[in-house]
Amino acid sequence: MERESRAAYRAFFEEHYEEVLAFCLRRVDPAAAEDIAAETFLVAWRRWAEVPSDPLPWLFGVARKLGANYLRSIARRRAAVSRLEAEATAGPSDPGEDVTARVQVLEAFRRLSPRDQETLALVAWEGVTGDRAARTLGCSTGAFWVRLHRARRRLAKELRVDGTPQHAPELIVLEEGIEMEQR
Amino acid sequence: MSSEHDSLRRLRDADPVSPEQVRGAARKPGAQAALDRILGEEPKRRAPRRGAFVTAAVLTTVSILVWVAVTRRTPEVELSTAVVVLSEAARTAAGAGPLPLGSDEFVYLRTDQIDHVTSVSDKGVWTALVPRRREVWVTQDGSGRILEVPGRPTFPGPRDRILWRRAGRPRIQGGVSDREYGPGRLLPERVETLPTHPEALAEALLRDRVDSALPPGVGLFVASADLLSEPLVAPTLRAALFRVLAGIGGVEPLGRVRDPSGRAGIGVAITSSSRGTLQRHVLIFDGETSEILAEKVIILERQEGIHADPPIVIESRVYGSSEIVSSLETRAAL
Repeated sequence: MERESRAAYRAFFEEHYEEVLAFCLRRVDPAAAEDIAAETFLVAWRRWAEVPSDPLPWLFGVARKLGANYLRSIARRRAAVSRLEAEATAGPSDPGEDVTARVQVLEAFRRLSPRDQETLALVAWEGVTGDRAARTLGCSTGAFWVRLHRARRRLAKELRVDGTPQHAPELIVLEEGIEMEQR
Repeated sequence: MSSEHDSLRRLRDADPVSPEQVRGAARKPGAQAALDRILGEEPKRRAPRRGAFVTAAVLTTVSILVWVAVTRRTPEVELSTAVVVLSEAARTAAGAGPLPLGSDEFVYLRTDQIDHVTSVSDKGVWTALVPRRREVWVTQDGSGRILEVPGRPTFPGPRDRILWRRAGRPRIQGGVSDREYGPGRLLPERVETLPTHPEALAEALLRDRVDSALPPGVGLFVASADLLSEPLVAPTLRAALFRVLAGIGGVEPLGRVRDPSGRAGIGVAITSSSRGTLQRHVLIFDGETSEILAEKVIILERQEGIHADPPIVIESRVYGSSEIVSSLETRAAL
Protein backbone atom coordinates (compact mmCIF):
# COMPACT_ATOMS: atom_id res chain seq x y z
CA MET A 1 0.00 0.00 0.00
CA GLU A 2 2.81 2.30 1.03
CA ARG A 3 4.75 1.57 -2.14
CA GLU A 4 1.65 1.88 -4.34
CA SER A 5 0.80 5.21 -2.82
CA ARG A 6 4.30 6.57 -3.39
CA ALA A 7 4.41 5.26 -6.94
CA ALA A 8 1.03 6.82 -7.66
CA TYR A 9 2.18 10.08 -6.20
CA ARG A 10 5.38 10.02 -8.27
CA ALA A 11 3.31 9.57 -11.44
CA PHE A 12 0.95 12.32 -10.31
CA PHE A 13 3.93 14.66 -9.70
CA GLU A 14 5.42 13.98 -13.11
CA GLU A 15 2.07 14.41 -14.82
CA HIS A 16 1.22 17.78 -13.32
CA TYR A 17 4.50 19.43 -12.32
CA GLU A 18 4.97 21.29 -15.60
CA GLU A 19 1.52 22.84 -15.47
CA VAL A 20 1.93 23.89 -11.85
CA LEU A 21 5.39 25.29 -12.52
CA ALA A 22 4.07 27.28 -15.49
CA PHE A 23 1.25 28.58 -13.30
CA CYS A 24 3.81 29.74 -10.74
CA LEU A 25 6.19 31.20 -13.33
CA ARG A 26 3.38 33.42 -14.60
CA ARG A 27 2.88 34.88 -11.16
CA VAL A 28 6.22 35.11 -9.40
CA ASP A 29 9.91 35.23 -10.20
CA PRO A 30 11.50 31.98 -11.41
CA ALA A 31 13.37 31.12 -8.21
CA ALA A 32 10.25 31.51 -6.10
CA ALA A 33 8.17 29.72 -8.72
CA GLU A 34 10.13 26.51 -8.26
CA ASP A 35 9.83 26.77 -4.47
CA ILE A 36 6.11 27.41 -4.64
CA ALA A 37 5.59 24.56 -7.09
CA ALA A 38 7.47 22.27 -4.71
CA GLU A 39 5.43 23.53 -1.74
CA THR A 40 2.26 22.93 -3.69
CA PHE A 41 3.19 19.30 -4.25
CA LEU A 42 4.22 18.96 -0.63
CA VAL A 43 0.73 20.07 0.38
CA ALA A 44 -0.68 17.55 -2.11
CA TRP A 45 1.37 14.77 -0.56
CA ARG A 46 0.34 15.72 2.94
CA ARG A 47 -3.28 15.80 1.82
CA TRP A 48 -2.99 12.94 -0.61
CA ALA A 49 -6.29 11.44 0.44
CA GLU A 50 -8.08 14.70 -0.30
CA VAL A 51 -6.67 15.41 -3.75
CA PRO A 52 -9.62 15.13 -6.13
CA SER A 53 -9.70 13.05 -9.29
CA ASP A 54 -9.47 16.24 -11.35
CA PRO A 55 -6.50 17.59 -9.44
CA LEU A 56 -5.41 20.57 -11.52
CA PRO A 57 -7.88 23.16 -10.16
CA TRP A 58 -7.02 21.95 -6.67
CA LEU A 59 -3.28 22.27 -7.33
CA PHE A 60 -3.75 25.69 -8.89
CA GLY A 61 -5.82 26.72 -5.87
CA VAL A 62 -3.00 25.76 -3.52
CA ALA A 63 -0.32 27.34 -5.70
CA ARG A 64 -2.39 30.48 -6.05
CA LYS A 65 -2.63 30.94 -2.30
CA LEU A 66 1.03 30.19 -1.72
CA GLY A 67 1.95 32.57 -4.53
CA ALA A 68 -0.37 35.31 -3.31
CA ASN A 69 1.23 35.08 0.04
CA TYR A 70 4.69 35.24 -1.43
CA LEU A 71 3.70 38.33 -3.39
CA ARG A 72 2.69 40.01 -0.21
CA SER A 73 6.20 39.61 1.09
CA ILE A 74 8.79 42.31 0.79
CA ALA A 75 10.16 40.76 -2.40
CA ARG A 76 6.91 41.50 -4.21
CA ARG A 77 7.86 44.78 -5.80
CA ARG A 78 11.31 43.65 -6.80
CA ALA A 79 9.98 40.47 -8.37
CA ALA A 80 7.25 42.29 -10.24
CA VAL A 81 9.67 44.84 -11.62
CA SER A 82 12.22 42.27 -12.67
CA ARG A 83 9.53 40.35 -14.51
CA LEU A 84 8.19 43.43 -16.23
CA GLU A 85 11.65 44.65 -17.07
CA ALA A 86 12.54 41.27 -18.45
CA GLU A 87 9.43 41.32 -20.58
CA ALA A 88 10.10 44.86 -21.74
CA THR A 89 13.75 44.36 -22.64
CA ALA A 90 13.75 40.81 -23.94
CA GLY A 91 14.75 40.52 -27.56
CA PRO A 92 12.37 38.74 -29.87
CA SER A 93 12.93 35.04 -29.68
CA ASP A 94 11.00 34.62 -32.88
CA PRO A 95 11.71 37.18 -35.60
CA GLY A 96 8.03 37.26 -36.43
CA GLU A 97 6.93 37.98 -32.90
CA ASP A 98 5.54 41.41 -32.21
CA VAL A 99 7.31 42.13 -28.96
CA THR A 100 5.97 45.63 -28.63
CA ALA A 101 2.40 44.46 -28.86
CA ARG A 102 3.10 41.69 -26.40
CA VAL A 103 4.60 44.06 -23.85
CA GLN A 104 1.68 46.41 -24.39
CA VAL A 105 -0.77 43.63 -23.61
CA LEU A 106 1.18 42.54 -20.56
CA GLU A 107 1.39 46.11 -19.28
CA ALA A 108 -2.35 46.53 -19.75
CA PHE A 109 -2.82 43.26 -17.91
CA ARG A 110 -0.61 44.42 -15.02
CA ARG A 111 -2.70 47.55 -14.64
CA LEU A 112 -5.73 45.45 -13.78
CA SER A 113 -6.58 44.52 -10.22
CA PRO A 114 -5.03 41.28 -8.90
CA ARG A 115 -8.49 39.72 -8.97
CA ASP A 116 -9.00 40.55 -12.64
CA GLN A 117 -5.50 39.35 -13.45
CA GLU A 118 -6.10 36.05 -11.71
CA THR A 119 -9.35 35.44 -13.50
CA LEU A 120 -7.98 36.28 -16.93
CA ALA A 121 -4.74 34.39 -16.42
CA LEU A 122 -6.61 31.24 -15.52
CA VAL A 123 -8.63 31.38 -18.70
CA ALA A 124 -6.03 32.69 -21.13
CA TRP A 125 -2.90 30.98 -19.89
CA GLU A 126 -3.95 27.96 -17.88
CA GLY A 127 -6.94 27.23 -20.06
CA VAL A 128 -9.08 26.64 -17.00
CA THR A 129 -12.60 27.97 -17.07
CA GLY A 130 -16.11 27.50 -15.70
CA ASP A 131 -16.52 25.13 -12.82
CA ARG A 132 -12.82 24.22 -12.70
CA ALA A 133 -11.78 27.87 -12.54
CA ALA A 134 -14.35 28.47 -9.81
CA ARG A 135 -12.79 25.65 -7.80
CA THR A 136 -9.35 27.16 -8.23
CA LEU A 137 -10.54 30.58 -7.12
CA GLY A 138 -12.75 29.27 -4.34
CA CYS A 139 -15.91 30.92 -5.63
CA SER A 140 -19.15 29.78 -7.20
CA THR A 141 -19.30 29.09 -10.92
CA GLY A 142 -21.75 31.96 -11.36
CA ALA A 143 -19.41 34.32 -9.55
CA PHE A 144 -16.57 33.19 -11.79
CA TRP A 145 -18.50 34.01 -14.98
CA VAL A 146 -19.35 37.44 -13.63
CA ARG A 147 -15.73 38.03 -12.68
CA LEU A 148 -14.55 36.91 -16.09
CA HIS A 149 -17.02 39.12 -17.88
CA ARG A 150 -15.95 42.18 -15.91
CA ALA A 151 -12.26 41.40 -16.12
CA ARG A 152 -12.44 40.94 -19.87
CA ARG A 153 -14.26 44.22 -20.25
CA ARG A 154 -11.65 46.03 -18.18
CA LEU A 155 -8.79 44.48 -20.13
CA ALA A 156 -10.43 45.54 -23.38
CA LYS A 157 -10.76 49.05 -21.98
CA GLU A 158 -7.07 49.10 -21.03
CA LEU A 159 -6.11 47.98 -24.51
CA ARG A 160 -8.44 50.41 -26.28
CA VAL A 161 -7.53 53.76 -27.83
CA ASP A 162 -4.60 52.50 -29.92
CA GLY A 163 -2.97 50.89 -26.92
CA THR A 164 -2.22 54.15 -25.13
CA PRO A 165 -2.12 53.54 -21.38
CA GLN A 166 -5.08 55.04 -19.53
CA HIS A 167 -2.87 55.99 -16.63
CA ALA A 168 0.76 55.80 -15.60
CA PRO A 169 2.32 52.38 -16.08
CA GLU A 170 2.74 50.37 -12.91
CA LEU A 171 6.38 49.88 -13.70
CA ILE A 172 7.18 53.49 -12.82
CA VAL A 173 5.37 53.26 -9.54
CA LEU A 174 7.13 50.02 -8.72
CA GLU A 175 10.51 51.46 -9.57
CA GLU A 176 9.85 54.37 -7.25
CA GLY A 177 8.87 51.88 -4.58
CA ILE A 178 12.19 50.16 -4.94
CA GLU A 179 14.13 53.39 -4.86
CA MET A 180 12.32 54.28 -1.68
CA GLU A 181 13.10 50.89 -0.28
CA GLN A 182 16.74 51.23 -1.14
CA ARG A 183 17.11 54.63 0.49
CA MET B 1 -18.04 42.35 -27.31
CA SER B 2 -15.69 41.38 -30.09
CA SER B 3 -12.98 43.64 -28.67
CA GLU B 4 -13.35 41.80 -25.37
CA HIS B 5 -12.80 38.46 -27.07
CA ASP B 6 -9.96 39.96 -29.02
CA SER B 7 -8.33 41.21 -25.83
CA LEU B 8 -8.47 37.72 -24.35
CA ARG B 9 -6.90 36.29 -27.50
CA ARG B 10 -4.15 38.91 -27.37
CA LEU B 11 -3.55 38.06 -23.75
CA ARG B 12 -3.35 34.37 -24.62
CA ASP B 13 -0.73 35.17 -27.26
CA ALA B 14 1.25 37.19 -24.74
CA ASP B 15 1.63 34.27 -22.33
CA PRO B 16 4.85 35.06 -20.44
CA VAL B 17 5.70 31.36 -20.15
CA SER B 18 6.47 29.40 -23.27
CA PRO B 19 5.90 25.64 -23.40
CA GLU B 20 9.66 25.18 -23.94
CA GLN B 21 10.35 26.80 -20.58
CA VAL B 22 8.62 24.06 -18.64
CA ARG B 23 8.94 21.09 -20.97
CA GLY B 24 10.54 18.20 -19.11
CA ALA B 25 10.74 20.28 -15.91
CA ALA B 26 9.51 17.41 -13.72
CA ARG B 27 12.55 15.36 -14.75
CA LYS B 28 15.09 18.06 -13.97
CA PRO B 29 17.35 17.56 -10.94
CA GLY B 30 15.72 20.36 -8.91
CA ALA B 31 12.25 18.91 -9.34
CA GLN B 32 13.43 15.36 -8.67
CA ALA B 33 15.20 16.54 -5.50
CA ALA B 34 11.97 18.23 -4.41
CA LEU B 35 10.06 15.03 -5.15
CA ASP B 36 12.49 12.98 -3.07
CA ARG B 37 12.17 15.45 -0.19
CA ILE B 38 8.39 15.28 -0.39
CA LEU B 39 8.31 11.50 -0.47
CA GLY B 40 10.66 11.48 2.51
CA GLU B 41 7.73 12.74 4.55
CA GLU B 42 4.81 10.75 5.81
CA PRO B 43 1.50 12.05 4.48
CA LYS B 44 -0.89 12.93 7.29
CA ARG B 45 -3.57 10.55 6.11
CA ARG B 46 -2.59 7.88 3.67
CA ALA B 47 -5.55 6.37 1.94
CA PRO B 48 -6.56 5.59 -1.61
CA ARG B 49 -7.35 8.69 -3.56
CA ARG B 50 -11.00 9.41 -3.69
CA GLY B 51 -12.87 11.50 -6.12
CA ALA B 52 -14.69 13.80 -3.82
CA PHE B 53 -13.26 17.25 -3.59
CA VAL B 54 -13.04 17.86 0.10
CA THR B 55 -12.09 21.47 0.49
CA ALA B 56 -11.37 24.59 -1.49
CA ALA B 57 -9.06 26.14 1.02
CA VAL B 58 -5.98 24.27 2.02
CA LEU B 59 -4.74 25.05 5.46
CA THR B 60 -1.30 23.76 5.96
CA THR B 61 1.43 23.71 8.46
CA VAL B 62 4.07 23.78 5.75
CA SER B 63 6.33 26.71 5.28
CA ILE B 64 4.05 29.25 3.74
CA LEU B 65 1.00 30.85 5.30
CA VAL B 66 -2.13 31.34 3.37
CA TRP B 67 -3.43 34.66 4.51
CA VAL B 68 -6.41 34.22 2.24
CA ALA B 69 -7.52 31.71 4.84
CA VAL B 70 -8.75 34.66 6.86
CA THR B 71 -11.75 34.83 4.65
CA ARG B 72 -11.88 31.33 3.19
CA ARG B 73 -11.12 28.99 6.03
CA THR B 74 -11.44 25.25 6.00
CA PRO B 75 -13.83 24.20 8.73
CA GLU B 76 -11.36 22.15 10.69
CA VAL B 77 -12.01 21.54 14.35
CA GLU B 78 -8.40 22.29 15.29
CA LEU B 79 -8.36 25.63 13.60
CA SER B 80 -11.81 26.56 14.83
CA THR B 81 -10.58 26.07 18.34
CA ALA B 82 -7.54 28.25 17.72
CA VAL B 83 -9.79 30.84 16.14
CA VAL B 84 -12.16 30.68 19.08
CA VAL B 85 -9.49 31.14 21.75
CA LEU B 86 -7.73 33.90 19.85
CA SER B 87 -10.97 35.70 19.07
CA GLU B 88 -11.85 35.47 22.73
CA ALA B 89 -8.44 36.92 23.60
CA ALA B 90 -9.13 39.73 21.12
CA ARG B 91 -12.37 40.53 22.92
CA THR B 92 -10.60 40.51 26.28
CA ALA B 93 -7.83 42.74 24.94
CA ALA B 94 -10.33 45.18 23.47
CA GLY B 95 -12.18 45.40 26.76
CA ALA B 96 -9.05 46.11 28.78
CA GLY B 97 -8.40 49.74 29.56
CA PRO B 98 -5.01 51.30 28.87
CA LEU B 99 -2.50 51.10 31.72
CA PRO B 100 -3.25 53.97 34.13
CA LEU B 101 0.24 55.34 33.78
CA GLY B 102 0.99 58.71 35.37
CA SER B 103 3.34 61.15 33.67
CA ASP B 104 6.03 60.52 36.26
CA GLU B 105 5.60 56.75 36.36
CA PHE B 106 7.10 53.84 34.48
CA VAL B 107 5.85 50.55 33.16
CA TYR B 108 8.22 47.83 34.29
CA LEU B 109 8.51 44.57 32.36
CA ARG B 110 10.92 41.76 33.03
CA THR B 111 11.65 39.16 30.38
CA ASP B 112 13.71 36.03 30.88
CA GLN B 113 14.87 34.88 27.53
CA ILE B 114 17.02 32.22 25.94
CA ASP B 115 18.57 32.63 22.51
CA HIS B 116 20.62 30.17 20.55
CA VAL B 117 24.01 30.96 19.13
CA THR B 118 25.38 28.71 16.40
CA SER B 119 29.05 29.07 15.66
CA VAL B 120 31.12 27.74 12.80
CA SER B 121 34.80 27.04 13.43
CA ASP B 122 37.38 24.83 11.81
CA LYS B 123 36.66 22.35 14.60
CA GLY B 124 33.02 22.04 13.63
CA VAL B 125 29.65 23.68 14.06
CA TRP B 126 28.22 23.92 17.55
CA THR B 127 25.32 25.61 19.26
CA ALA B 128 24.91 27.20 22.66
CA LEU B 129 21.82 28.46 24.44
CA VAL B 130 22.35 31.82 26.08
CA PRO B 131 19.96 32.98 28.81
CA ARG B 132 19.45 36.66 29.49
CA ARG B 133 17.32 38.68 31.87
CA ARG B 134 15.96 41.83 30.30
CA GLU B 135 14.31 44.52 32.37
CA VAL B 136 12.60 47.48 30.77
CA TRP B 137 11.28 50.65 32.37
CA VAL B 138 9.33 52.82 29.97
CA THR B 139 7.36 56.04 30.37
CA GLN B 140 4.38 57.33 28.44
CA ASP B 141 6.68 59.20 26.06
CA GLY B 142 8.68 56.09 25.24
CA SER B 143 11.80 57.02 27.16
CA GLY B 144 13.27 54.79 29.86
CA ARG B 145 15.87 52.20 30.67
CA ILE B 146 16.85 48.70 29.59
CA LEU B 147 18.98 46.51 31.82
CA GLU B 148 20.20 43.24 30.34
CA VAL B 149 22.09 40.64 32.34
CA PRO B 150 23.33 37.51 30.58
CA GLY B 151 23.28 34.16 32.32
CA ARG B 152 25.45 31.08 32.03
CA PRO B 153 25.23 29.46 28.59
CA THR B 154 24.23 25.84 28.22
CA PHE B 155 24.62 23.45 25.32
CA PRO B 156 21.88 21.44 23.64
CA GLY B 157 24.05 18.31 23.62
CA PRO B 158 27.44 17.11 24.91
CA ARG B 159 28.95 17.30 21.45
CA ASP B 160 28.15 21.01 21.26
CA ARG B 161 30.11 21.52 24.46
CA ILE B 162 33.03 19.43 23.16
CA LEU B 163 33.20 21.40 19.92
CA TRP B 164 33.04 24.67 21.85
CA ARG B 165 35.98 23.51 23.97
CA ARG B 166 37.92 22.45 20.88
CA ALA B 167 37.27 25.87 19.39
CA GLY B 168 39.15 27.36 22.35
CA ARG B 169 36.17 28.11 24.60
CA PRO B 170 35.25 31.41 22.94
CA ARG B 171 33.12 33.77 24.99
CA ILE B 172 29.50 33.25 23.99
CA GLN B 173 27.48 35.73 25.98
CA GLY B 174 27.88 39.50 26.04
CA GLY B 175 28.32 41.53 29.20
CA VAL B 176 25.81 43.41 31.33
CA SER B 177 24.18 46.25 29.47
CA ASP B 178 22.42 49.11 31.26
CA ARG B 179 21.27 52.04 29.15
CA GLU B 180 18.78 54.86 29.33
CA TYR B 181 16.88 55.95 26.25
CA GLY B 182 15.26 59.20 25.14
CA PRO B 183 11.61 59.82 24.20
CA GLY B 184 10.12 57.41 21.69
CA ARG B 185 13.09 55.05 21.71
CA LEU B 186 11.40 52.30 23.69
CA LEU B 187 8.13 52.19 21.80
CA PRO B 188 7.72 49.91 18.79
CA GLU B 189 8.55 51.92 15.71
CA ARG B 190 5.56 53.75 14.16
CA VAL B 191 3.16 51.66 16.19
CA GLU B 192 0.64 54.49 16.15
CA THR B 193 0.37 54.25 12.38
CA LEU B 194 -0.65 50.61 12.37
CA PRO B 195 -4.24 49.98 11.27
CA THR B 196 -6.60 48.20 13.63
CA HIS B 197 -8.58 46.35 10.98
CA PRO B 198 -7.15 42.82 11.06
CA GLU B 199 -6.67 42.41 7.32
CA ALA B 200 -5.12 45.85 6.91
CA LEU B 201 -2.96 45.19 9.94
CA ALA B 202 -1.80 41.85 8.54
CA GLU B 203 -0.90 43.54 5.27
CA ALA B 204 1.03 46.26 7.11
CA LEU B 205 2.89 43.73 9.22
CA LEU B 206 3.73 41.59 6.21
CA ARG B 207 4.94 44.64 4.34
CA ASP B 208 7.04 46.27 7.03
CA ARG B 209 7.66 44.06 10.01
CA VAL B 210 7.86 40.46 8.98
CA ASP B 211 11.24 38.79 8.75
CA SER B 212 11.46 37.94 5.05
CA ALA B 213 13.52 34.84 5.84
CA LEU B 214 10.49 33.31 7.54
CA PRO B 215 7.44 31.93 5.77
CA PRO B 216 4.91 34.77 5.88
CA GLY B 217 2.54 32.88 8.19
CA VAL B 218 5.24 32.26 10.72
CA GLY B 219 6.58 35.77 10.24
CA LEU B 220 3.15 37.20 10.85
CA PHE B 221 2.75 35.01 13.91
CA VAL B 222 6.09 36.18 15.33
CA ALA B 223 5.55 39.86 14.47
CA SER B 224 2.09 39.82 16.08
CA ALA B 225 3.40 38.09 19.18
CA ASP B 226 6.27 40.57 19.46
CA LEU B 227 3.93 43.54 19.36
CA LEU B 228 1.54 41.89 21.79
CA SER B 229 4.35 41.47 24.28
CA GLU B 230 5.20 45.19 24.21
CA PRO B 231 4.02 46.96 27.35
CA LEU B 232 2.43 50.13 25.93
CA VAL B 233 0.46 48.90 22.93
CA ALA B 234 -3.09 50.28 22.83
CA PRO B 235 -5.94 47.83 23.61
CA THR B 236 -7.50 48.30 20.16
CA LEU B 237 -4.26 47.34 18.46
CA ARG B 238 -3.76 44.39 20.80
CA ALA B 239 -7.25 43.19 19.93
CA ALA B 240 -6.47 43.51 16.23
CA LEU B 241 -3.22 41.59 16.67
CA PHE B 242 -5.10 38.70 18.26
CA ARG B 243 -7.52 38.79 15.33
CA VAL B 244 -4.58 38.65 12.94
CA LEU B 245 -3.31 35.58 14.79
CA ALA B 246 -6.79 34.07 14.56
CA GLY B 247 -6.70 34.52 10.80
CA ILE B 248 -3.40 32.79 10.17
CA GLY B 249 -3.86 29.44 8.48
CA GLY B 250 -2.12 26.59 10.24
CA VAL B 251 -2.25 28.01 13.77
CA GLU B 252 -3.00 25.14 16.10
CA PRO B 253 -4.50 25.33 19.55
CA LEU B 254 -2.48 23.75 22.34
CA GLY B 255 -5.18 24.14 24.95
CA ARG B 256 -4.32 24.96 28.53
CA VAL B 257 -0.58 24.81 29.04
CA ARG B 258 2.04 26.05 31.49
CA ASP B 259 4.75 28.48 30.50
CA PRO B 260 8.40 27.77 31.39
CA SER B 261 7.94 29.56 34.73
CA GLY B 262 4.96 27.36 35.61
CA ARG B 263 2.13 29.83 35.01
CA ALA B 264 -1.06 28.47 33.44
CA GLY B 265 -2.10 29.94 30.12
CA ILE B 266 -3.53 29.16 26.72
CA GLY B 267 -1.17 28.03 24.00
CA VAL B 268 -1.28 28.35 20.24
CA ALA B 269 1.43 27.31 17.81
CA ILE B 270 2.44 27.36 14.19
CA THR B 271 4.78 24.83 12.61
CA SER B 272 6.98 25.43 9.62
CA SER B 273 9.61 23.56 7.68
CA SER B 274 10.85 26.42 5.58
CA ARG B 275 14.41 26.63 6.87
CA GLY B 276 15.01 23.02 6.13
CA THR B 277 14.01 21.98 9.61
CA LEU B 278 10.64 21.55 11.18
CA GLN B 279 10.19 24.29 13.79
CA ARG B 280 7.31 25.19 16.02
CA HIS B 281 6.61 28.69 17.27
CA VAL B 282 4.54 28.68 20.44
CA LEU B 283 2.71 31.58 22.02
CA ILE B 284 1.23 31.32 25.50
CA PHE B 285 -1.13 33.96 26.83
CA ASP B 286 -3.23 34.53 29.91
CA GLY B 287 -6.83 33.70 29.04
CA GLU B 288 -8.15 36.03 31.74
CA THR B 289 -6.19 39.16 30.81
CA SER B 290 -4.86 38.42 27.28
CA GLU B 291 -1.35 39.27 28.52
CA ILE B 292 1.41 37.39 26.76
CA LEU B 293 3.12 35.00 29.14
CA ALA B 294 5.71 33.34 26.95
CA GLU B 295 6.98 32.59 23.45
CA LYS B 296 9.05 29.59 22.42
CA VAL B 297 10.70 28.27 19.29
CA ILE B 298 11.11 24.51 19.28
CA ILE B 299 13.09 22.48 16.77
CA LEU B 300 11.21 19.30 15.96
CA GLU B 301 13.81 17.47 13.92
CA ARG B 302 17.57 17.15 13.75
CA GLN B 303 19.34 20.24 12.54
CA GLU B 304 22.89 20.61 11.38
CA GLY B 305 24.99 22.34 14.02
CA ILE B 306 22.80 21.27 16.94
CA HIS B 307 24.01 18.02 18.42
CA ALA B 308 20.98 16.86 20.35
CA ASP B 309 17.78 15.00 19.73
CA PRO B 310 14.65 17.05 19.14
CA PRO B 311 12.47 18.53 20.41
CA ILE B 312 14.80 21.32 21.53
CA VAL B 313 13.69 24.74 22.72
CA ILE B 314 16.13 27.03 20.95
CA GLU B 315 14.48 30.32 21.87
CA SER B 316 12.19 31.35 24.64
CA ARG B 317 10.82 34.51 26.20
CA VAL B 318 9.03 34.50 29.51
CA TYR B 319 7.30 37.79 30.20
CA GLY B 320 6.45 39.06 33.64
CA SER B 321 3.33 41.13 34.22
CA SER B 322 3.58 44.76 33.21
CA GLU B 323 3.56 46.74 36.43
CA ILE B 324 3.56 50.44 37.13
CA VAL B 325 6.51 51.61 39.21
CA SER B 326 7.64 55.01 40.39
CA SER B 327 11.30 55.08 39.40
CA LEU B 328 13.90 53.62 37.08
CA GLU B 329 15.28 51.56 39.93
CA THR B 330 12.01 50.07 41.23
CA ARG B 331 11.19 46.51 40.29
CA ALA B 332 7.98 44.55 40.33
CA ALA B 333 7.79 40.87 41.13
CA LEU B 334 7.60 38.41 38.23
